[in-house]
Amino acid sequence: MDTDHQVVEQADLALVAATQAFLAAQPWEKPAIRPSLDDARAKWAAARYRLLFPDVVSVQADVVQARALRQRIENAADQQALIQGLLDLAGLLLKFVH
Amino acid sequence: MQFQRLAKSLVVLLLTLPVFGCTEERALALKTAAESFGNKASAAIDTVVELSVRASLGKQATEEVSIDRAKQALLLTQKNRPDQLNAVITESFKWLQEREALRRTAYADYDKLKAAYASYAAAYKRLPEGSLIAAKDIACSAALGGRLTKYMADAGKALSAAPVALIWETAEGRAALAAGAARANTINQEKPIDEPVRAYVALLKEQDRINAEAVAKLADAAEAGAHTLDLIEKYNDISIADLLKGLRRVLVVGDSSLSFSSKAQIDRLDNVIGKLNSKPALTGVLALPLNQTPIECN
Repeated sequence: MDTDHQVVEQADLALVAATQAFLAAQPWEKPAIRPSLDDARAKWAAARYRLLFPDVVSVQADVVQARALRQRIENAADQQALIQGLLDLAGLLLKFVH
Repeated sequence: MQFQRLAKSLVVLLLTLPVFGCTEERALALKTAAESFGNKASAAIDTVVELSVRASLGKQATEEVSIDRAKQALLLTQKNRPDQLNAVITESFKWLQEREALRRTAYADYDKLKAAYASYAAAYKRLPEGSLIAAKDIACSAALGGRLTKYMADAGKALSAAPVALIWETAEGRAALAAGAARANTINQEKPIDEPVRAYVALLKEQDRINAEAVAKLADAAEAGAHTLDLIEKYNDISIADLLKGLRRVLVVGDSSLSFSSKAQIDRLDNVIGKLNSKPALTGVLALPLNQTPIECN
């Protein structure tokens, strides 16, 4: 599995955890989470699109960062930590936007 | 004398008609094949986009369910955090536009890709009027068609290697599993976990099924592209019977493809890639990015 696939695999898991947190949030908490979740989803879509091309755009350090971000999002203690994790994930996935 | 001249003209006409008819049939066959390739590629891209949108946002809920969710959210907020009501009103009706907004913003690249296939097919639109293809045009179409075909095959292989995860539904499924397990432990019975586990298994199977469907559509398009390339390559030499046989392969491919196993789909994609790599005319062309005009077209 190349580094692009590994990054996207971590992003998949991070987004599942973030979506779970979003679904569990109270209705009045959701508007604050929504923009960062939407942004991460849009960048994830771009990363998924890039996976359909044979070239690789990420490096091993991105995989390490993706793993750390996934853990941060899964273990986010509060809403702010979740939002920050999603923003950082979107920043990492920006690499796939061309 | 006049009769002789007329008879001579008739003989010439009878001799040339099949030739012109034949050329036009060739052109029509190629036009139809290119259009079929374009349509199959477009359908495959749409399937991949819909798969990805469903992954992000889940299955489209019915309007009744969405309205009910909005009502619950508003009632709960008004009771507990009335200061947040305006923000929750906005949030509660996002479902009306979110799918379209996501398609528009996150999937613009797919639209460009579809446009590339549509313009390739459109290039053949006026062909039957002219009926003849210059050698330069053949080289240009082969270079473009080769790359567009290879993209479909590569994308199919990439998707089968890394299927799209249904993120939203997985999150819902995991939440149901956690809640079911907690409830089962509280009442010391397995029953509350039974349904969420079965639903989660069904979800994983559904994920496999829709990814396989997208791979099958990419394989359909890749095969149609490869057959169209064969027609282009042999355009000037092939008999009408063989040309029509080739056309039939372009048109009927995909009819049974959804019943193929995953391994069979990968074999189909490998066959297309192998075929492309074996074409001398495509050497050095296949690796070029899709947005770069091949030198053959300048």
